[in-house]
Amino acid sequence: MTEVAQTLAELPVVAETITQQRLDAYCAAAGDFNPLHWEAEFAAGTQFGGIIAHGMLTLALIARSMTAAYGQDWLETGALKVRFKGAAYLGDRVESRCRATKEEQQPGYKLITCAVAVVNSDTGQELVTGTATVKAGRAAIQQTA
Amino acid sequence: MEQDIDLGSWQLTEERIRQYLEAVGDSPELYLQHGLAPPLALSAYALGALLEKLNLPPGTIHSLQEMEVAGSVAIGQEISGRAVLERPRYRAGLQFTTVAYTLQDGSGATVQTGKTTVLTPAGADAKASAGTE
Repeated sequence: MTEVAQTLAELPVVAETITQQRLDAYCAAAGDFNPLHWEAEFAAGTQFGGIIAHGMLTLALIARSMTAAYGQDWLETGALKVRFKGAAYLGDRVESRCRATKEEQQPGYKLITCAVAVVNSDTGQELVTGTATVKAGRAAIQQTA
Repeated sequence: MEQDIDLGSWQLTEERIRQYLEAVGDSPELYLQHGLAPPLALSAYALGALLEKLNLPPGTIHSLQEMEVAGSVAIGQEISGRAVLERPRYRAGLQFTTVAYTLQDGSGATVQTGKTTVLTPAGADAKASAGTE
């Protein structure tokens, strides 16, 4: 029988300031050269009115928080589902807000569900929201199998 | 109508992983210690390939992202990807393009699945078609 526990454990907060240097580095690393992220004149003419960060770059804060909390389990069993709700602009300070909300004991591992988000540190505006899951203890079992 | 898209392949060299981690502000120690690639790096490579293959117009924005790790990915492996483009949907002047992708390692084992939804203005010159490769 599955055991379900309700928890409120906060995960490590990961914060970054959005800079053009970081966006340029991400363009090159991910192969995403949408001018919305590097061309000021183009970005000014869009609904955003200026350069914004890649959604996947802001999402990386959540992945970093999950990695910090669950390590190898996250790398080998992680899953997430998120919605991009707002934009991070140049100069914005953004941070992860993640917490474990549920633990379910399964044979050989715990399925942990987390509420995850990235917010603007100054305004509190939610930029990314969703859920992530990880099978804690599963990676160690896979290693010894 | 759905369309299949070949996303190509990526060699996950340590240099490439370090480049991604530096770009997102992460430190490489944990990944190198376990010899494992960060799952979101693979999602990012898949999305980058999708944007190129779909030839979406500048200004396309990311709306939804799903990712599920199906197996560990060692640094040094070659990963290949395929995607299925769903029929675009239109709402409030926007085109919603959803693509489900699957990433496999060199042995053909699935290592990650995911789904991406991007938005473009319906009047923009969107060419969300694998035929634009």
